[in-house]
Amino acid sequence: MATTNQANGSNSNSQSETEIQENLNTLIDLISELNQVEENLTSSNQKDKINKKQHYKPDKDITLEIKQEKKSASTSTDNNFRNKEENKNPILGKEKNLDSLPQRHTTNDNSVIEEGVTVVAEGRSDYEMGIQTPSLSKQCTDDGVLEPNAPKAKSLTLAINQPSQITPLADNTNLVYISENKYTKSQKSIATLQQSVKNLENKLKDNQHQLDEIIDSVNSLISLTVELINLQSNTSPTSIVSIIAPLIDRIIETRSTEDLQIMGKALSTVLPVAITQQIAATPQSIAKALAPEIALSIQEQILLDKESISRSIGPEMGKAIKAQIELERDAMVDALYPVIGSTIAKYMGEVVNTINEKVENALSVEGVKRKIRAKVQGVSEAELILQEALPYQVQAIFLIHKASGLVIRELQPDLDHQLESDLVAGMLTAIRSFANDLISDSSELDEIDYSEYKILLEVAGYCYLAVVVKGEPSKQFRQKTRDVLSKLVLKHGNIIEVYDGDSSTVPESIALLLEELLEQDRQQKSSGSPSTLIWLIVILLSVIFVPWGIFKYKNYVADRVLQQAAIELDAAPELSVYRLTSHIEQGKLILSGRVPSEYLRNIAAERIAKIAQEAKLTLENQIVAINVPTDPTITQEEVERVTSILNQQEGVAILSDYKDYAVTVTGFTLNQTRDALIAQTFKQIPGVEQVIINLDKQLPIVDNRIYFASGSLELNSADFTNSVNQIGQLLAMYPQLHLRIIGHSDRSGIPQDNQKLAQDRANKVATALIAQEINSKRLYIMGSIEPPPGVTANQPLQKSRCVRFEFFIPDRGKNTHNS
Amino acid sequence: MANISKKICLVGDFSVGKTSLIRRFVEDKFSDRYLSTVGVKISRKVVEFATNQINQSVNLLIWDIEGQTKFQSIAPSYLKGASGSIIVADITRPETLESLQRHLDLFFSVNPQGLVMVALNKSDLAVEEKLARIIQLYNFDLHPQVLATYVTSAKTGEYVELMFRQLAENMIKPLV
Repeated sequence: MATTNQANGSNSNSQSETEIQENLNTLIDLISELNQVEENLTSSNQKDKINKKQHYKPDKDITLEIKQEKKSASTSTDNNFRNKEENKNPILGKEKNLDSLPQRHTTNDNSVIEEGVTVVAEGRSDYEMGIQTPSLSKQCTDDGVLEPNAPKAKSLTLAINQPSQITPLADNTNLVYISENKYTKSQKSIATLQQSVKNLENKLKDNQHQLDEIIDSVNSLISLTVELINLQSNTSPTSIVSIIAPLIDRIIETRSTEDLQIMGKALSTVLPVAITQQIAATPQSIAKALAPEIALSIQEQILLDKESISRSIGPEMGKAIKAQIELERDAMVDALYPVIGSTIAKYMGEVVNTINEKVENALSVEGVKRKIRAKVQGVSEAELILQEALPYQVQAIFLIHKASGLVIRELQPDLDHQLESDLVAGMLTAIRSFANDLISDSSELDEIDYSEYKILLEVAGYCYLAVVVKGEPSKQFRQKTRDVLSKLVLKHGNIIEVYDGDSSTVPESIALLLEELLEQDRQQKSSGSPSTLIWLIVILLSVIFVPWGIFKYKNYVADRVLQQAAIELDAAPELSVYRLTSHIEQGKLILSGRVPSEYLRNIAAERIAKIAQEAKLTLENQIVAINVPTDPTITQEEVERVTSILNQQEGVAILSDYKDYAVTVTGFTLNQTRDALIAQTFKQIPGVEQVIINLDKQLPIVDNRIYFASGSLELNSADFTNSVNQIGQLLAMYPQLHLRIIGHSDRSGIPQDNQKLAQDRANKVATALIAQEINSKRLYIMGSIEPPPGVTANQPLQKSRCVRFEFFIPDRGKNTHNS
Repeated sequence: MANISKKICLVGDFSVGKTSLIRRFVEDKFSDRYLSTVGVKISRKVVEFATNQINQSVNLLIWDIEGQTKFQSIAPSYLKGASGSIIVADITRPETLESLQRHLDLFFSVNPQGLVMVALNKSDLAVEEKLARIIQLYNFDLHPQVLATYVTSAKTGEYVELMFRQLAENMIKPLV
């Protein structure tokens, strides 16, 4: 039916959900079917109650209806609906007023619907809620049908008219038709369908609501979450960590797939710090992580910027090498050895060569040398001449075609070390070309220096000469190569120019010319062989050893002389006890040592003089005569002996005291000349170094006199005691002294008596002295009537009556008896 | 000892297999390793053959010249005095094939009398049809001094010995 489509159209307005639409469509179809069934029913039952249904028959298409509250008027949106309704009879009086309005025809229907709806609504309260779609309500307004109280409508219900009508029908029907049964069944199915549609709609609505709600709540939640996270991270950071941790890697991954640049930018600021931290914390792990890439990254960087790596490493290289040397010297030495070894070898070679040159200049006596060496080594001179070629030896001569590098002619004198001439020539040519291209076309490669080898290059127009030389070729040799080459070019220039590799085209004369170069070489030789170095060494050695030999010989001679001298000295018994040595110095035989006397010193000199004369040496006697300290007791005895001997001489009465090598002499000498003699005598005694002479020239005078009474012999004891003490001491000290006791008497009386009295008085004193243990032999007694010296005649007599004393030293042999 | 020596050069772009061809010919060996030749490498091989029942031998001095790159062209001085040359291209790299003519011109400018072999190398890396097409495209046989164009493979040795020998023989011929 056409109306179905319209209903469909309005439906689509209100519902965007296609599913629902589809459902509805099927529903509509069903409904239309149902209507047909109903029509049939109505036609058969003309009963008024059922009329209602007939009224609604055209309504079957209308699926949408705005349902109001029971009281309020409902509006139908569909014009068709309205038109069709016009024929319908109002059924309920209650709503008749509404019916009067032509426009409100539909309201009749609505009221009918209400009836039906109420029935239906009982079981479908959920359906009542309906779908509130703004589009629907809008449509209502457009139609202008909407009642002012329309807003009161709680819901715009998608209602299906048919069922609501059917329900009352079902209620009312007491008549049972087959078709009715059928109808009921379909009604039921419609009901379930409606139910399901409603459910669907509800669900959809719910979902939408939920979605909206979720969105709202999420929006409000975001700020909340942020705060929550803040809070949480403050209070318990670990929990936050545990929550977020598993997600972080995924977050980063996702983000970096989205926009790598931004991610890089975000992380870039942190990375350096992070790496620094990590290095500080666990340097090992960073090292492990980076290690495999370092070599690669350096390579990469070198590719990118060759200079940068060397620039950055360069300044540290020196230090690094230094450090490594300090750390592990051997490893460094091993590493550098191959380089340094050959460098040093080359350097040393040069040094030796320079030395050689200098030595040659200094000693240009080649011939003599060679002859001597020939004798020493036992080889022929000719052989030596060859050996002298050592400083430079031509290993090979190549004449090479300049352009192609093909060998025109070669000469290799040394059969043991043949060079691959073709390859050598080729490479030389390539090197020449390379050097020429690289540096300048006008300049030429003259020489290739390969440690001890040299390749001399002499270039002509179409060929060049390469001479492989071991050692340092001379300038003359170079000149010679030039000469040879120019000759070659002059003679065979055209052949050389067109040389195309066929050696048969090369004339033999070229080879002869080249051989000339070898000849020249041999003639040149001579110079600067290392043997000159040997000569230098020989001279150096002789400089060292000749004086040494002379020295040795002189020593030998000297030794012999000294040995003789020693024997000679030993032979003299008086000298043998002394340690005398002799040595030779600058043509002098020097004797040294110590002897106690000049005498012994002279004896030694006399004995050695003969030997010195034989060896043509002058003798220098450095023997020292020294005083041997004498035994003090012996000296003492000697001093005493000398003293006693001296005391026996006339007029000598001395005492000696020896102490500290000095003799002190005290006493009396009557003869002054004796003093010197005494001093000399004591000096001669060994061990006496000093003689102190303290001698009196007069004998001591005894002043004390013993006085007597007139005619008496009685001793005045006081006088006597005084005299005896003095006399006793002196006599004891000087045994040589004798004492003269002289008695005196006064002049009164008879001289003879007086004489006797004087004699007696002297005797008396002598006896008293002897009693005092004075030797009587040393006493000489005499009496005199003369007054004693110093007493005159006019002095009292008493002065004359006395005994006086006089010391004297008697002559030898004479003694007291004589006097 | 061969009394005739001849210098031949191998010319071509870098990495076309010059060194490998020489190695195959001189030592009969091949290595996959790529070794860039710096400057010049010289090899020698004595080739013996009979011409008119006379046994002949030629001492081939083979100059392996550093390949041409964008930055460095072949130094003409290395080509001087060469009796023959093998111009090499890599069939897998069209640009090397394109360079063939330039190398030919260079060689003939230095050695107007020289003989040339063209070697389209690395044939083991291409299929038959492609080979056929390339041979058609890059055929210099029309040039009077180009002896032949061969599709060679240093790896398998295909045509290598033959090419060298032919070149050697042709260089000797005028003398016989």
